[in-house]
Amino acid sequence: MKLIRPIICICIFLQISVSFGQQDSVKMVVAKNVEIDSSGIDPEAQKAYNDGISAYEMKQFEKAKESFTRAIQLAPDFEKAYNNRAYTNLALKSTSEAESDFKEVLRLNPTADKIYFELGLLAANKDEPEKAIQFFSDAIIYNAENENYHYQKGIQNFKLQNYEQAILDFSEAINRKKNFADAYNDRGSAYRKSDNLDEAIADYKKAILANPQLIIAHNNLGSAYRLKGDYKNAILAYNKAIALDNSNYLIYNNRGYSRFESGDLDGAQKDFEEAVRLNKDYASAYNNIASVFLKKEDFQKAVEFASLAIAKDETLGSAYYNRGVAYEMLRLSDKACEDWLKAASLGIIIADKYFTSSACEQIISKQ
Amino acid sequence: MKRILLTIHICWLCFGLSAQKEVTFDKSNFKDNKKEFKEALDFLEQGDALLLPNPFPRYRQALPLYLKAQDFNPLSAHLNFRIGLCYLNTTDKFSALDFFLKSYDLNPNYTPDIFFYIGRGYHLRSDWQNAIKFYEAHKQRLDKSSRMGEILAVNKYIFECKSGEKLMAEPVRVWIDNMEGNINSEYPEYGMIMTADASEIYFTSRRPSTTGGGKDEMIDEYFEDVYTSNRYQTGNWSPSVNVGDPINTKGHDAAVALSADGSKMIVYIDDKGDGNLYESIREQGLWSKPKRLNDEICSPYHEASAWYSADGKRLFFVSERPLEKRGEPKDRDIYVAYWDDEKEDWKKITRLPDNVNTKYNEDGIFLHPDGKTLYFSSKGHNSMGEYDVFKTVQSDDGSWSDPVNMGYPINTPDDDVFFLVAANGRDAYMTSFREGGFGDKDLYKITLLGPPKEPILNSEDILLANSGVASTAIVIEPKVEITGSQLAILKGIIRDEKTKNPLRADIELVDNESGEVIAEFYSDSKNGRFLVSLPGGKNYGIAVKAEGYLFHSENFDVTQDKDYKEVEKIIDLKKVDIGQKIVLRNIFFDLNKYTLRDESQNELNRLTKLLNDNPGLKIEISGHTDSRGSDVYNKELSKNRAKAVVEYLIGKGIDKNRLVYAGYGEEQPLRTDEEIKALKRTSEIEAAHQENRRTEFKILAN
Repeated sequence: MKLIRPIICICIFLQISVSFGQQDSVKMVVAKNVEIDSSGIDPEAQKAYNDGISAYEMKQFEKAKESFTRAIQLAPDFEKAYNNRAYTNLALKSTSEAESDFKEVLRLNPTADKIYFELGLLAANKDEPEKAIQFFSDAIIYNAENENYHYQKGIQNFKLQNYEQAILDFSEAINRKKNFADAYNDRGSAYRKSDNLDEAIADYKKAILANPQLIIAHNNLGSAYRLKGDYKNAILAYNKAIALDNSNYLIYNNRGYSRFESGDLDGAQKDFEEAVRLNKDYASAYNNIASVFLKKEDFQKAVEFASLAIAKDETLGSAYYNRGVAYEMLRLSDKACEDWLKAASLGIIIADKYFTSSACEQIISKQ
Repeated sequence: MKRILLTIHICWLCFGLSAQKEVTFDKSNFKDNKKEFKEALDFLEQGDALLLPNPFPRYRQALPLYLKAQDFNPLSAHLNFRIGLCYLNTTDKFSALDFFLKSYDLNPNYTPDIFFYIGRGYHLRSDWQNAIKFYEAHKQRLDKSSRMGEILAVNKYIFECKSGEKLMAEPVRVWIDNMEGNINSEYPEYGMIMTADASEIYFTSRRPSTTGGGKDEMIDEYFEDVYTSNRYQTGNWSPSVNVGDPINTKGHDAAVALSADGSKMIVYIDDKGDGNLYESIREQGLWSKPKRLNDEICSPYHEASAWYSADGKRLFFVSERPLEKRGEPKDRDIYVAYWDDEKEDWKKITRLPDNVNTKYNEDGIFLHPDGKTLYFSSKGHNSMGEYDVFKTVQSDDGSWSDPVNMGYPINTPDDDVFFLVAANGRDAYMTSFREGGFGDKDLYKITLLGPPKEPILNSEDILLANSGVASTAIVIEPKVEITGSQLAILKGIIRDEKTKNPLRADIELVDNESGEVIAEFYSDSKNGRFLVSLPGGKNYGIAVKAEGYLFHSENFDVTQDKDYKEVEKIIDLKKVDIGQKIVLRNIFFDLNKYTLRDESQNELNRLTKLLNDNPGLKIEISGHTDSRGSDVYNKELSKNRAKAVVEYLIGKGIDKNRLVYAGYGEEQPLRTDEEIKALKRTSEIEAAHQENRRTEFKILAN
């Protein structure tokens, strides 16, 4: 899926680059000096440190880690060695060791904002949003001007459904970087979640203005229009998203949904079928095809496709519900009741109501 | 000019058939087959003679004779018209049109009213536009000064056609199923009545098995008898049987109403043309001899249809009585009588308002068990022809909504009457003549599907630019169209706990909020069966009492529920013996508190009375909670609640030495956590927890 970016790897790479950019003296030592420099750190430690950097650059991470470790053994307060070993550990996917090293850096330098940020990212990756927010907040205390700190904090607040706070965080990020397309998109999503679709639409548009290639912003703009009932503009937005990426089954599914809502059942069916062609395991699209057949009153076909959806995802409550409706119209009350019962157990409230109003308890008890 | 154009159009419609030469029943036309002619003429004359009696021409008997004559000579305008007339006045009305058209084709001047009859034929076939054209053409032939009454009647038919056209354009979603061979036969079945849950039905039929086996010579059909069927055993309708004496006699017998629980029935008895309503009571499974209802209901005028409210406090009926005393009989209107508890009779007869009763006939009434929805048939309002079924709903202020036509295909251009809706609001029943039936009128089940159930679609978006994870949008569920009933039905069997023999027990229905006893019912001593209808909007306390037994209490809170609920229970009453315990379902506390709520009064008074009636009783009151919350907290709360009940009883003068209280918290659940975990529906899970939250009493000594 093209929309899903390998964000973690990118982040780490960027952070390494930034780190090196900010540590010119170390870099210089690595490059030129083998003697004790003015920092007063044991030259052996500096040498080991420089060896570590060289190994890292050659992607010999285990060797780099050994060198940084030796540097730390020789100079236990060697902040940069902890810093670089932390990134090396990340490269080795030893996140808990990386976390320990970052904390050592903080012990030696409690105002190192970027380290708080790194710890925040680690917490976020471990799906600990509250902890991540705390680290990002600490980073902001020591450097309020970094837009990424605000942006990442906003993401965590979004995940915690603190949409109001997320909007504030994204706004802070945008204030510091006026063409921050991702932040506009994400703030738009926070507005959407706050049921403020007008602001959401405005932000998605700004995201597109800042980065016309941002496919998810086009898609999200379409979805916001759809939720507003403006199917014409929704379809136009999805069209643009598909023009940028015609292999994305989610967007086809979403455009199909808009076409369905606008009454274009044939157009909707084509989109859902395309979504299924692009991802044959996409249960939602099968269920949506079943919905089209329900509307077309082809109940046998509706059963067929809802069953396919269930085969792909047995927790898809809406598919059980839809199949139940189709079974009812095929006058297979017992099967309808069984499906509504299952849908109700999967959280579809209306299925529970139909189970009751259709006297399903009596129907099932007669079986 | 307009008149000329219409006539041209009518001529085109009729002669589109291809004009044929008329051959009258004149011997000069049949010189070569005199014998056959004589025989056919004889059939024709016999048929004509049968149509002479006024006001009861014998169409049904005349029709086969006419058809035999038609076999010999199909080109007589007179005969074709008469055959059309017979069809128009018997069951197969659809067939009339072809014969009227043929008659006109053979001789346009045979009768000046032919356009009217052709209009009727098209009307009955729901061919609205053609019907209107012929009615209009007929109107133009009528003299405004001398035939104004007929003009008004034709205008009514035209209005019906316009209504029909609108209604048919938006048919209601229903399934219509013949009730099959255990109910229907080749003979007419109609006028079904039923218990609130539609588990037991009665209907009228004219079968050879009628009591006495006699026929009504006027119409050449068997006398009406009442038949019954039920689905208690298998869920399917049992073969129908004649209910026999004393409901059925050698004459016409028709059942018109049944109480919600099936314990009372109203039958219609002709009373030499007066037409009155009689009531029969079922005791030990047997119907009593029907007894005429009081004079306030049975006026000197005709009364026919009737229906009880589910609480037995109101009786709706149809009467032809005039608005003023000793006036001329009026068209049939709907009235309601109220049960006077003191006088133990029906009083305070009230005519339903003019927005329900029209200047045309109303008939075939049925009050739904929800106590506020009245279904009835009317020839007025926006009927599409003859009687149509309508629905009106009574508001809390007592007013009735403007009736709504139940729509096509429930209603047709012909008579649509005897429409019943089961408590579930989904299953309805009616009488109809339809192709593919068992013969003549049959009983049909109508499944009211309501608006289409909208599908649920799924969508997913990636809301965050850098999350990389598609988030499923919250499933937006379609709105629920409330089409079912807002009520609950509690039914089942009451037995002795030990012997399992059925018991006759009194069932008291209490509005817990007001403390008022709303209605009283009883179970049938023969089978212990009972049924209580609980219309929405109240918190009901139900007490089941029988001499020598501990009372049993149930609670139904129908204040919040919007869906129909049917609960079937076997209630085993317990003798007043040591060790016996019962759950006091109508004792209420506020959430997490132990102050008794006012709604508990009735239950507490019942308990006080039990202790007063049985001075030797020593009891334990115990409190129980569900398993949610901490053990310590639950135990403390349950103990305090039990204590509150004991303190109430002491306050009512019960010796404290007879009372012990205990709090068991979640230690003694009626439904275990494992059982609850296995439940799938949130409503079921909540109900199971509710069952565990209770106050009990146990007999320690007697």
